[in-house]
Amino acid sequence: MTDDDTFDLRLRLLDRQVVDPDGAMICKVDDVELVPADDGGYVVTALLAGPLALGPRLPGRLGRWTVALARRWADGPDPAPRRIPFERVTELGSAVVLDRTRDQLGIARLEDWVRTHVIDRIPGSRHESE
Amino acid sequence: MNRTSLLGIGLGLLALGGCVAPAPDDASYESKAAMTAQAALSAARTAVLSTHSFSDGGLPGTYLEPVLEDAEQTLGSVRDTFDSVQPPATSAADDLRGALDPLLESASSDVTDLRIAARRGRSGDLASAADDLSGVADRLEAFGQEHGG
Amino acid sequence: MKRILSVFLGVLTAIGGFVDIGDLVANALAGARFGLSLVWVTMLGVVGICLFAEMSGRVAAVTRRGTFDVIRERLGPRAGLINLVASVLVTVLTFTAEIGGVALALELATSVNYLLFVPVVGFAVWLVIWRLKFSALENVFGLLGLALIVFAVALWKLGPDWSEFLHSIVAPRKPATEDLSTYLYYGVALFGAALTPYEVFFFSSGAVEERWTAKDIATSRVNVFLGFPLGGLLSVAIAGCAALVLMPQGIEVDTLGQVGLPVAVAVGKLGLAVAILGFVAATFGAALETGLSTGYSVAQYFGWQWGKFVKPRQAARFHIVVLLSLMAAIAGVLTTADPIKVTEYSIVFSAVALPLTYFPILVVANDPVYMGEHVNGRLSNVLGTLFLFIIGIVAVAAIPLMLITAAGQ
Repeated sequence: MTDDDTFDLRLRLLDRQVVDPDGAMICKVDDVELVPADDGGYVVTALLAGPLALGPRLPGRLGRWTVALARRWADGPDPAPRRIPFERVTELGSAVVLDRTRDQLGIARLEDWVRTHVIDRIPGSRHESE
Repeated sequence: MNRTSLLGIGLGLLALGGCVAPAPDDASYESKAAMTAQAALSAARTAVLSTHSFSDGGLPGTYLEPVLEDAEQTLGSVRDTFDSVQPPATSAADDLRGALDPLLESASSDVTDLRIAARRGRSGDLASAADDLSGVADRLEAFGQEHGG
Repeated sequence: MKRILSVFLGVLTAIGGFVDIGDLVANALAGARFGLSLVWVTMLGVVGICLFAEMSGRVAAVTRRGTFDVIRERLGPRAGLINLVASVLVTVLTFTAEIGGVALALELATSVNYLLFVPVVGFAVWLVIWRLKFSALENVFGLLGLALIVFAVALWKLGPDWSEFLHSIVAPRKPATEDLSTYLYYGVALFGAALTPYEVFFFSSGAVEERWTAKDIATSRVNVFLGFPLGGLLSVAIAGCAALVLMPQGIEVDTLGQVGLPVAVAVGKLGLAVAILGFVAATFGAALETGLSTGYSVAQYFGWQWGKFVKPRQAARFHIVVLLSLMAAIAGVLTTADPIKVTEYSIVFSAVALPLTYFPILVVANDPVYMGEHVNGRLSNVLGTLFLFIIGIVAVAAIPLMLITAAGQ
């Protein structure tokens, strides 16, 4: 069992659903950014999301291909995974709650692309179902 | 080709193997013949049952047509599959073929007659074709029981 | 009063929504070839689906999250991904079978070739998913599916010797003319048809769509424990009709038309029309469920916004996945592969994928961190573990049996 002092990242943070203040889904915690701290341990400075974050955690060839594909798709010569600074986190419960919405964070490029190029062109995409 | 795809192909071939491989001996040819008779019986009886039901007002023409077309198709493919099997060079095998082939042919042509009569709305032709087919079906059933156990 | 009505509606929807093309084909097939000697497998399958649907509904109501969301969290991204890929493949295959089923049913109603209906059906499926509210979707097709009760009516009208009928069910005897391996193969198929993976994903995601909370657990239990077994009785009625009408004639089921024949014989034209309505409703409803399930699974694994409870533009990737799987399913039917054969393969492969689906649900339902006081009780666990064992055996035996019997010949 864990102490009060230790926080099991794998159990409590990794692969958790990340939601916005209204509960809308943003992403998963595909990886975390750890920075060495002064006391010899590590500090979580950011949540990482997207294929560049998840890819390395998938086994073997699949992982490498995911990262390679994601690199192709990204702009810029040295792409990094989507980054959510840890300061954005307001709550660590059954989901990780942030203080911004998905659109404010601007991290879901695939969602934005699909929405703009496909979904918005289909009539009825802005309406609630009836 | 790596091992996985070879395995996949091997398994795929095994799965298909039931129908098209040549039958090397009398016993397996007999069982193939029995299976063929069973499949033909099923299609023939389906056609007869649906036709009788149609004549009794139990099902509409729109239902009868696809059922008869499917039965016709099944009989055709069952015949083709059986014909593609190389019989062993024995007189027993020749007798089997001699007994089954005409039954398959009769069944096929009777179902075609049924389908045509149904389309044309000729209830007389329908009734007589159904009777013929029923007789063939009974003989197919007897064949299947004799050779399939 | 309103509460009772809504529970009643839930149960009726569960009954009508229980049967899909896999159940139609598997039960008619088994009934025509094996009489009533495989009904025990259907009943076993019904117990299994009740158990796991209750668990997954409870997990969704308590955690307010979908199944794949929790699976990835609990088992990690690697195991979750294996699960996801297998489930999506099987579900898309099932989706293909369902669309084929709708088209076949429409062919029987109009005698127009089924292939011509496929694009229309595909478009209709997409349109309903795009526009119709979730609860309307479930209720409309669930209630229309009740038309399949005509099979029970037909069975009653066929008037078998009831004591002999029941005896054949509870003391099953494999027909002497059939091999044991074929008997077991069709047993596996029936089991896979009753316990399809997509049912569980749909049920639990539906719970989130409809905003269930822990207070709704009791209602969910009534729906499951009353609705599913009664739905299972419809499956048994289909098998019984086939056993009484088709088996004595030596008719083996390889088309949808044969499935409906006993109703024509016993009840006549009107009954047959109702049966066709039932076929269309059951397969169309199942097509909606399988389509949505592929979206749910993929979106929940990756953490994307999903569901019909938000506007489509807020869940763009979810809707794209549904659309892509629909296109794959349509393409699958348009290859002119026999939809009945596709159905058979889909249920056998469902049987193989079952452990991947059910094991994680059992794990999560047992985890007090997620479930709090609603964690599995002793009975759920004993039964759940027992079923997992049975599911494991079935999954392992499925492919070998398929090869040995050359897919049931």
